Amino acid sequence: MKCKSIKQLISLYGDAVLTREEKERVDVHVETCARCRALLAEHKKTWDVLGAWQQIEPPSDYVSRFWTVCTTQEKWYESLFRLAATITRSRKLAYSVALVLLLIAVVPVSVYRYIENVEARAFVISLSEDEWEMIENLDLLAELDVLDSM
Amino acid sequence: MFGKKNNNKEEYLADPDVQLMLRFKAGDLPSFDVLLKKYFPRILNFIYRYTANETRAEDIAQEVFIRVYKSRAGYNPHATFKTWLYTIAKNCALNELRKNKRHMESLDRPLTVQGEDMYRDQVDPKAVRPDQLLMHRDKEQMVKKAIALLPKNQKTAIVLRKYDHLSYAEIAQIMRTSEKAVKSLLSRGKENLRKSLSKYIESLQ
Repeated sequence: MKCKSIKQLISLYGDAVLTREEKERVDVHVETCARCRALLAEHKKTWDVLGAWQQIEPPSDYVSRFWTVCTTQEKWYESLFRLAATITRSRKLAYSVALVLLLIAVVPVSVYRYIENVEARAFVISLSEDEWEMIENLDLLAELDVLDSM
Repeated sequence: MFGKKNNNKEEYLADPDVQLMLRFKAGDLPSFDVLLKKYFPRILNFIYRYTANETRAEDIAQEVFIRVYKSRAGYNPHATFKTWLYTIAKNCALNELRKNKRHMESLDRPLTVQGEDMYRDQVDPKAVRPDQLLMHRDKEQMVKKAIALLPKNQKTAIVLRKYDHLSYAEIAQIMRTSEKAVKSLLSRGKENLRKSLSKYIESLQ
């Protein structure tokens, strides 16, 4: 096995990606080739030395910083989306908002109808007996279609 | 097709991070928080190692997640979340390198203490002395320099493999290339690193 053909395999030997057959080829070759054996050792050391580059830690408030930047850059419709998402996230909040909207829609109509009823009742109470009799007669005439012919 | 692009959408939908992103798309904000907490440190370090610029790494990592945040409406998984995220990070890091080449950390200054070359210092490995801490920093500087000098594709492959522990298939997807090409990039990258770090490694013996 020529050194040139095995060079790539040697560089990837420690990476756990070689097939069993490829690993065996390297093992067999380095048994008899001191140069490739030294190359294999150097590659291993190089790969290990890369571990000296330590990672950095993010700042402890990186999450809140992110949201601050995000909301600052947000367009108005994105803010609405986020508000809607906040509301729908909490069921209790969603129900409360829905209830409030319902009350806003229903209450004025109910109040208006109530006032209308109160006024109507007051009008009925104020009628005399003669006026009541007149209204009943008018109803009878309307049923008999007499009013239209008058 | 490059990167063994897997058209099996079901496989991507099985990815729990893709599910989180889809939930976020549907309006569930806490899902994005989970993704942010899981991936921000990794992306931060990937960008730090790729650009060798600790000062800018946080800003760029933030930009990556802002892009993810803003893309939620059109999110349509055609890869795992991780490879998609790393692709965005790689592009942001590349843009930064192109913009601020001259502002990259100078890695060329000589590593000396009191006029002496630290490489020749032979210290007792069992003792903990200030110059040992400096030796470690020295080793880190050498590694930073060696990786910074790699051609960009080799650097991408090396950083993703060594520090982010991604598979060849994942690296191929991120780099939009084949696994065979990734193998070749890693082999050449390692060979270049071996050459640039060989004298330093010899001095440690």
